[in-house]
Amino acid sequence: MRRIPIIPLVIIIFFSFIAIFAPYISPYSPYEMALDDRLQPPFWQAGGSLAHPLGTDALGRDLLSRIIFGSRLSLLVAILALFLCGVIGAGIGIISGYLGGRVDIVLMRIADSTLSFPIILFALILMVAWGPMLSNVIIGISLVLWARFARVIRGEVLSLKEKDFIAQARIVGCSSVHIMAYHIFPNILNTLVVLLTLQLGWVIIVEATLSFLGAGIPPPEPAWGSMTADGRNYITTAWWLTIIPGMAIMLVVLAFNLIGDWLRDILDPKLRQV
Amino acid sequence: MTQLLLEVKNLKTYFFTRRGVVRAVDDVSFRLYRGETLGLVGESGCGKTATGLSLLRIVPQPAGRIVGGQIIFDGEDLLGKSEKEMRQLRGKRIFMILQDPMTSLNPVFTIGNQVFEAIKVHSNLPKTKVWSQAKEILRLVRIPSPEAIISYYPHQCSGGMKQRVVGAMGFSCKPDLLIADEPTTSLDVTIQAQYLRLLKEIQQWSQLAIIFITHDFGIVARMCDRVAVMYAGKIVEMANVGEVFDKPSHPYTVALMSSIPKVEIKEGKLPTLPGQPPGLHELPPGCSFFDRCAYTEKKCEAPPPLEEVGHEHWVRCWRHE
Amino acid sequence: MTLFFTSIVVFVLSRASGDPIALMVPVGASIEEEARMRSVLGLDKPYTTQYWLFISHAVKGDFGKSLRQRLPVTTLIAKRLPNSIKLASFSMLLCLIFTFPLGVIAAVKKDSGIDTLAKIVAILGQSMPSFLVGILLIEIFAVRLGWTPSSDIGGIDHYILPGFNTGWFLTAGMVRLLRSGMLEALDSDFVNMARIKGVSEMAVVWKHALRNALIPVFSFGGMYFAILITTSIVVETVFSWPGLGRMVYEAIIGRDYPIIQGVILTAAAMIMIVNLIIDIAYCYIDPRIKYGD
Repeated sequence: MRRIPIIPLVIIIFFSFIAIFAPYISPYSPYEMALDDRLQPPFWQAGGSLAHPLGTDALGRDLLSRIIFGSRLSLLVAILALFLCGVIGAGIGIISGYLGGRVDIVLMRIADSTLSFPIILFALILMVAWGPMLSNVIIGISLVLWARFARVIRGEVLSLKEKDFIAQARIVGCSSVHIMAYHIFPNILNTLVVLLTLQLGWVIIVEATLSFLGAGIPPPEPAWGSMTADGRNYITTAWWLTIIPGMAIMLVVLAFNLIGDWLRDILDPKLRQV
Repeated sequence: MTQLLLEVKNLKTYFFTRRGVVRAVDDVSFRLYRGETLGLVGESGCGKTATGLSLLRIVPQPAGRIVGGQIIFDGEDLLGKSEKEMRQLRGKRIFMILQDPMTSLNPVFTIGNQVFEAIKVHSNLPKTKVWSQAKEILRLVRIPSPEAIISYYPHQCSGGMKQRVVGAMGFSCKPDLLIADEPTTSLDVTIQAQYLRLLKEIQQWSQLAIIFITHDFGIVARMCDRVAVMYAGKIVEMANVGEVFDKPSHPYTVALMSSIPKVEIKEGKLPTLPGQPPGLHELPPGCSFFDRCAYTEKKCEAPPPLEEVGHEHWVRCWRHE
Repeated sequence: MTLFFTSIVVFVLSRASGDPIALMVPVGASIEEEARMRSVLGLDKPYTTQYWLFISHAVKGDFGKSLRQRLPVTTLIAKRLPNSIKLASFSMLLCLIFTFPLGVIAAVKKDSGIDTLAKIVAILGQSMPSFLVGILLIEIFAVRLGWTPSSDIGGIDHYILPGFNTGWFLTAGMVRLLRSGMLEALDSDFVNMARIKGVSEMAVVWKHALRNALIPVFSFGGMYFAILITTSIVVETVFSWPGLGRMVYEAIIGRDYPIIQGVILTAAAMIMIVNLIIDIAYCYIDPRIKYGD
């Protein structure tokens, strides 16, 4: 049993904390502009001050506050999108795997066609089509990602199906629905949890990339990805505008990936190749 | 006219794991003569396979290490040899057959390829000669139509066939010593019999010495000249086959033998040996068999030494002082 | 079958991306001008007719004309596709050069310095968004150090940064796969058997173990290659690379349906072709499939 990876855990707890309590701990509003204080560097550089510890952007908005509020977006999208993915993916995976036959074939065909769909492209189109709203980002991501979940869960279900306790339940007279809900589902929970944590980092990256490309939540909402994109124009003079949001993304994703790996090693090492 | 081929003295192979030091081979000594078959018997986990791997010095690293003793093969201590020298010995003078034929062959190369390699590694003959040797050796192990088999892949062959192929790879260079690690455990009973007969034949005309690792006393009776019984990394009894069957002296040997199903027993339960062998990283301080032994005395709290109690009959038990 | 399904999806999606006329028409244009534009571009016909036209032309390889540039989409695609292929190939090359030594040696010398390096490369590659990597690369190597140009296509020096950008992500995934595949192979009986035969450790690792570990790596690489070509949107944007990804991105923003449709269909077709090639190649690499059970 490997040791719990402390640092990633701390990082995740930290970011979750600031996301939840953002309005209380953020020094300024993320929208508040102060045109006199534009492009101030972070406090450890010359010209910076603790009034704006991480500096300000081109419109004088405090970077620290924007980062804090940006965490809300990233984490919210990630959690909701994955929840949706998990529900759809596990649901379809279980149904498809357990019922088999034509249902299985049709469902898996649909799943396969979404699998080869490049996720960013699809999400981009959706965002432009339906408008840059939070719910659309979440739905968009779920629509592409569910197939991966469904496939893996289906595999699990296929091998579970053969086990004796399932046959027992059938002999006793349980309905298919009952079996799927009470017998199959708890047994795939392990795999599901691992899959979810493994994909968390990826979803955050997708959301960040979308907002980087301008297809995410529109300004003035603070999103780490769009902050990085905006900062590009000033990179030589005000490096902190790109690097700091970028680092935030990286830290969170890294933490989630490490935790995901650790969880997988404990719960379900079979998924090594995923 | 039997020559001493192998003398193992106080061999110790330990595995250094997170849970502690596993004493897989703990002060093991024995002798083996040319043409002789020594049975190495015991339950799984007692150190039999580790002993075999140690002789070839392919103990899985970095956890495993031979920490002491000598392995004197044909006059030379193998533990003093370099890796390069060992490689020349392996396959050519000492060979080992592993337990599971299903995983012993590389799935992505043909049978022919793998037998070819076994020969080529130790000879400088041109390719065509090596191929004909390969076919010869496949014929020798009674594989029908070697020319066809050569282009087959392992998954296309049965377990029995695969085990013969492994045997072919082994005999190709006419080794002096064969270590057979439960080679017939995963084979059908009839195939088992054929395989054992084959081994016996090859042994007869080649003076091959065999260390036969098994947990099956039936095979011991059929194949072995002498037996060494292992428990928790140590040899607890060693004697000629007749002696051991006549006068099993160590309580463990007695228990093992009485759990062999005999056709004559028509009623009553099959006696089983209660309990489990101790984990090799948490051995009791005294005799390792203490917890499962029916005859324990106060003396048994100290580890007993291996003593000779009869002609070439050694036992590690206080009862036979 | 999947292609058909995809085409429907594509059609619906691109139509869903909004009304291009609104974007193209100058502000304040009259209703009649809008209508005229609409009919010129064939957008006034009912959807089913539009779909039929789309499909019937697409089957012949004609994706229509770009709404904005009035050029045939196929021409546009043909112009940009090679660029994307070139970049993807270069990235794949870089990836292979790094993956093999790293993955194999990391497994052989488990828990050593190299192993740690491999794990770091892998986890960082999967944790950093590619746009961040791109920006950093440009900033450090192009701007500060001035070693390489930072954008557009050109000589081989133009390939380096974007190549590393995409390459890193690829390498991360492949190194993981290769390393775990090698670890499994090195632990197996047949590798032990090779050692028993007296085969040199070098051959054991590079011949016996590697051949087995390669199989999943190969399919991963192949699959990703196709995806790379068609959608390196991010990297192409960051580096202003004139490839397919960027074209699609601009098309989406500008609601240029024919381009969107054309590119996506091409992408889907390419991915399917690559998958087919991989499936066939698999038969040669993994004998268990060729002479399958």
